Amino acid sequence: MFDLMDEAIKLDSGDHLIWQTNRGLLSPLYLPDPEKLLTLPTGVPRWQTYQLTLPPQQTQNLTVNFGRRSWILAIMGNFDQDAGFSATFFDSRKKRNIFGNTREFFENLVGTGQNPAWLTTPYMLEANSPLFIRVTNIATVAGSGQLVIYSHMEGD
Amino acid sequence: MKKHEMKCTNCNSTGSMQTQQGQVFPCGQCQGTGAVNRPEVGPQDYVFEYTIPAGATQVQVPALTILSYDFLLKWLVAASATLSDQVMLTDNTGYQWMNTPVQLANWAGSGQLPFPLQPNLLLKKNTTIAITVYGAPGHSGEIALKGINLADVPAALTTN
Repeated sequence: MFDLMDEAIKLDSGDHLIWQTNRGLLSPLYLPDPEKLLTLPTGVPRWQTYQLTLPPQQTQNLTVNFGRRSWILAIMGNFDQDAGFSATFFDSRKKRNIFGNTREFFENLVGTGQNPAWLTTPYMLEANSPLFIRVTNIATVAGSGQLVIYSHMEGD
Repeated sequence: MKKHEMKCTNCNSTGSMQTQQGQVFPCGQCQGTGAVNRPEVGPQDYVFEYTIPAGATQVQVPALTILSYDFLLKWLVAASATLSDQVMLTDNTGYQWMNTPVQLANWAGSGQLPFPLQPNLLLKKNTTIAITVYGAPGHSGEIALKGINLADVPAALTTN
């Protein structure tokens, strides 16, 4: 973490560019804001994983409880139907939908291990405040997939 | 010795470990050979190869121990013809990195597009990592934890 700032260039506008050595190019902000990452307390990485098996046009409710204070950093997932899934994320402590009240398609919401969908800024969940995720299969046939919430969980 | 560590009968280290579920992993320091190859400062990949045996749906990959230096884990990569295989990581503190197994496609990248672990994770010297892979019989692949062996760890990072 300590060398992340060496790879980031702060513009006069306050935005950051990040030298992504793995891609060999200077990209506009792609990872969460490095200054925000530096403010995270010591902790451990955590992947919360959910298997999705949904009949056509049905909804599945998931409950995510990290136990400790956690910061959502990225969302990954996949599904096997072209029409796909959609989801909303509700923070039970703050009583709000994290990304707004409108459901978002997985294409616009999740990434993969190679191209994770990083949140533009880490989203903090208080300890023992469950996150409710409502996933809907939009397709007219049954579908399955996996949803993965990558986060940083506060340590001891 | 930490709660989940066990003594290796070959190299006499504490590189073996047992998970909360009772799974016993062989020594991460010598991989059961009795010989320990200590890495140098600089780039370091800890590589786990797996093949799921016939008649099985999971395999415990031999554990690996972070030797000689603290290790800053920066990238996760995996190669397999079946990236739907799922992984579960455990370390010698007993911490499981995920609640249920994660598909390789959603957990790791590749050499061309690695998954950048943010924030980077400092694994202290003598940390042992154990991986269990779930998939169909005959599936095989390789998982690598890519990072840097650190000679001098900034004080701010030593509390992880």
